[in-house]
Amino acid sequence: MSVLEVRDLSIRFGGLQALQGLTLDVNEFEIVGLIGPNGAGKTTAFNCITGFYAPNTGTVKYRGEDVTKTPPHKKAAMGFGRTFQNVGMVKSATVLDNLKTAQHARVGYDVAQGLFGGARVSSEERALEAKADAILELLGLTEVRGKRVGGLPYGTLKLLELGCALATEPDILLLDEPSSGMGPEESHQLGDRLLALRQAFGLTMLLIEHHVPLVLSVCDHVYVLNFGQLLAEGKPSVIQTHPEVVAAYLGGEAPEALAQTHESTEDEALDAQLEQAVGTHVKSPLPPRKAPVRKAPAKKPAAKNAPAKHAAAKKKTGEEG
Amino acid sequence: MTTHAPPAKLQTEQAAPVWRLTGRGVVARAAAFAVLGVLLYLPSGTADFSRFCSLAVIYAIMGLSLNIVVGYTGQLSLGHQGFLGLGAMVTANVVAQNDLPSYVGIGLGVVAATAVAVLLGLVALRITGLYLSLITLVFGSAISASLLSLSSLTGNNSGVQLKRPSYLASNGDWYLVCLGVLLVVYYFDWRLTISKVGRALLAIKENERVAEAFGIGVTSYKLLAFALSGALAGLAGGLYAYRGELYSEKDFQDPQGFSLALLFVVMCVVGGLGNRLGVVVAGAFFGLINTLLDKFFLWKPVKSVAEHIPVINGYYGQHPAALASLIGAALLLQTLIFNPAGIGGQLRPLSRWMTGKKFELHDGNVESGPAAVEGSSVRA
Repeated sequence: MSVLEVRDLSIRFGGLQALQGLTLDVNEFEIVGLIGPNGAGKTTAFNCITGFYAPNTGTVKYRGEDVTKTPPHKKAAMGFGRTFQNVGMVKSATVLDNLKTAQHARVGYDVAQGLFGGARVSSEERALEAKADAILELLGLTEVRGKRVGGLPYGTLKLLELGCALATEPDILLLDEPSSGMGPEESHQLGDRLLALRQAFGLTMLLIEHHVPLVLSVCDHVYVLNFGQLLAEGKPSVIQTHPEVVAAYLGGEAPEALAQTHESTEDEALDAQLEQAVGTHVKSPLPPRKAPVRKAPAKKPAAKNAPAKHAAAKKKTGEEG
Repeated sequence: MTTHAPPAKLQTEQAAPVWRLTGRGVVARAAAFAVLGVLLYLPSGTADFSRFCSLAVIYAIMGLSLNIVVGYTGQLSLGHQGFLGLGAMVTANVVAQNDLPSYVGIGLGVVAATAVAVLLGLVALRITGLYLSLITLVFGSAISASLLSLSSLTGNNSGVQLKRPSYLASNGDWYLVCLGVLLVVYYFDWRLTISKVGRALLAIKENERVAEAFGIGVTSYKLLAFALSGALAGLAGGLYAYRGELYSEKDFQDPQGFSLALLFVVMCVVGGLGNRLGVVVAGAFFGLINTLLDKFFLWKPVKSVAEHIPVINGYYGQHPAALASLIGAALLLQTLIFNPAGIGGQLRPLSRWMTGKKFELHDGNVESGPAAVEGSSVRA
């Protein structure tokens, strides 16, 4: 079951063809990587998929429904959670308030009720707070709960942003460079975290990522963009050695460049680490691609099944901790 | 083991001290509220002073109105006197021509101002920053030059007379009505900031894309902010018309109209953008400053001295409002440079204490300051 189905997406900014005929699929419970050199159009693709840009041609389907023209806030309510390349949070508000703001589409009272107040609103607000706390605990960030977001270090912010995206109760999570600003060790942890989150919340993910070891360790499938066009797609291990991909990243002749990357001792050490990590962690709970995966009910409203997911998540973290 | 300090002590040092409201604290706060209530009630006994105090309260409501747009949503409006005037005009004309009760007139004024504010909000969806300020500026001038002064509506050039209901005939009574309205508005404003609406507006102010990613409909919330702001301004307009028992479009026409619009913005900034209490205090202050200066310079000891200082005597005598503007400008500068959180920031320890928290001069969180309006910042 394809959660996200992008067909022939093109967008042009003046003289720049930012995307040209992008076609990609994200299946249920998959983590799909979108990689490519700077300026390849990855973030533009995200913006088209999440509705921030209106593509010139092409369609975006979410669980079979055409959502090409759906505005971003409605998509968020449908279950699109996203993060931004430069941290997307409300900087002058506290961490707790950000997590509550992120739950906007799930709040169980309307504007008038909010203005008049009452028992129902208070209990809803308490529920938002409880959920925010649960997310903070999940990410191990309980101590920054009352701090203003503006003053926090970048790595923490990236993690918090992920928390905010989770707070929107997403069905599919679109992460724009989640590991930027993190060191190798931290991004390794992030990989484990993403896998754990997928398990816990039943998430499907599409991520833009520059950090190759992270892509290799978490992604089930990788799409490579270059100059707005799809260059290659396939399993990460295949993509890693794909001559055109290597050429796009490094320039020059493919095979030599490939040889260079593999001789780097640092990378090998990392790879070994990662293999170990991947070995201990269940890398992918999925059957191979194209095989029929678990069937999801065709038109389930994301809001309704989400609490169940979160309950499961809490249980899981409880077991782990 | 025994030589080391017990770990329990370490823990108590690290943990934040738990603070509870004691019986004495409750009494002290109740007393503080009682004093505040009495102070607010006292002017209602005077015939003359209460008239100025109702203006102060109306300005405070205007401050809250503008604060929703400027402080919470980050859209600068320089045309809010238009909504005030619209509320006053509709109230006055509806009541004077149709012999309807006062609250119907005020209600219709609110409706009219809200509708026009939504129209302005539709513009604000497309235009931001400096251009939006310009549009609102032109809007304020245009509406007061056209709609408010249509003679077919106002009857004649001397304005519209209207009478307060007999049970609220005195100035003091009307002051209490205004005060009651302010309290209700204050409550809703508080609700707004602690509910999802306030969080949504803050997110929109800071970053519309993030707001959308969080599932917040930027369009509808911006319109909501303008509608609420217009409603409050229309309400203030109705109260304003009844305060003087006379509607005159001259109050809202340039140059007075523009000074009013500027004054409202200054009130918001000096009070502290987005800070409810600060804006109310600043509104009351600017509503009263002319009267207070007047009283001050007519006070015997001051008068006898001021008369002999040619600059003050001549300056003040001819331009009674000049000194007030000067004070406003000075306050604005000092707020922007030294005290970005405004009056509200200064009052914060006190307001926190009044609402049942511990009295602390620093609560650890610094206010965001006036860089809140799109594209504006101050470096001291």
